[in-house]
Amino acid sequence: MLKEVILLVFVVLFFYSLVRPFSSAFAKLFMLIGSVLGFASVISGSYIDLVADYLGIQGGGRDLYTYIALVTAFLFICYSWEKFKSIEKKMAIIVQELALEQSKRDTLGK
Amino acid sequence: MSHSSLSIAKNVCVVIPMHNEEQVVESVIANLSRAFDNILVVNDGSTDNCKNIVSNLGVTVINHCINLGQGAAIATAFSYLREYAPSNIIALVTCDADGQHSSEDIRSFAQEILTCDEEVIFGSRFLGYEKNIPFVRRHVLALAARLTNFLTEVKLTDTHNGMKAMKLSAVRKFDIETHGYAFETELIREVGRHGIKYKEMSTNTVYTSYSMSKGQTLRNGLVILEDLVRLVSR
Repeated sequence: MLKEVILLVFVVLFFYSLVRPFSSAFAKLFMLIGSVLGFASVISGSYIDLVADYLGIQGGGRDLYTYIALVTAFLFICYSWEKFKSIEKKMAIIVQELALEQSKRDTLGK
Repeated sequence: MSHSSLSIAKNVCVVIPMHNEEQVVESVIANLSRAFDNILVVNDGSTDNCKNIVSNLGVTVINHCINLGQGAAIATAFSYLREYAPSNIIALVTCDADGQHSSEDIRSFAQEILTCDEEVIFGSRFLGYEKNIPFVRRHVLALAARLTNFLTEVKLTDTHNGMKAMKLSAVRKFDIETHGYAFETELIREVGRHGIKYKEMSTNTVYTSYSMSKGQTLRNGLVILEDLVRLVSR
């Protein structure tokens, strides 16, 4: 029963990633590939070994997952960093505009 | 306006970015007020009492409600001067609020920017005063200058000096986005990009235990390096 539920989750994730709008094509691709690999690994680990062999990864499916996890973690950090910088920039613009507006009001009030 | 009719008191605005400088800012501004009528302080989200201190000194104060960094403070001052500067202001001098720059140097820079052909004057500690710079800092600054010279079309001996003078005509061309200390590099890059005429002038920096504790640390140097990479990749 649990196996079917997990398979259903991967199927839902796959179709959800097809219809959901993403700001980055990489994120969409990651979600699609991730859900397909997840689905395949639940059905049988040997499928993932086949994919790993095809990609030339000696250690099989487990190594393939390790590589994917590392790449995902790295991309997540880069993406978050960029996002923080972008928010920081927007915040700075707001603070500067507020400061200038306030000083303009102070000048007019004098 | 002819050069002879210009005066540093009326035609130059001193821009001071300030962050938590309650111990020294009053004396810094008092010294400058003797020579300059126009002083613009950008309070960059200070959490000490310096905001209240400067508000009673008769200078123009712009307040950032949170700390954004020295670059953002200078950028705000540029925006203010571009939009609201009285027509008699034709140049500005930037200096630190921690008292590292002498008021004599600031006056010399102001006088020079009014009369010279160049639009920007960069202060340099390496034109006669390099012995006054603490050993490690001296070498880090020299390395930063080499790196910045490599990345920009401008050749300077000191790229991270808070003391600068510039004409408002140059300021109108700048577009500064970097908020931290690396804004110096961005400003230099803007000078190169727009082909603005520039020169360097010698300036001494007074290193006290107070100013050393406020200045750039080596860890800040890593952040500057990070900003430089971002700046180049833009």
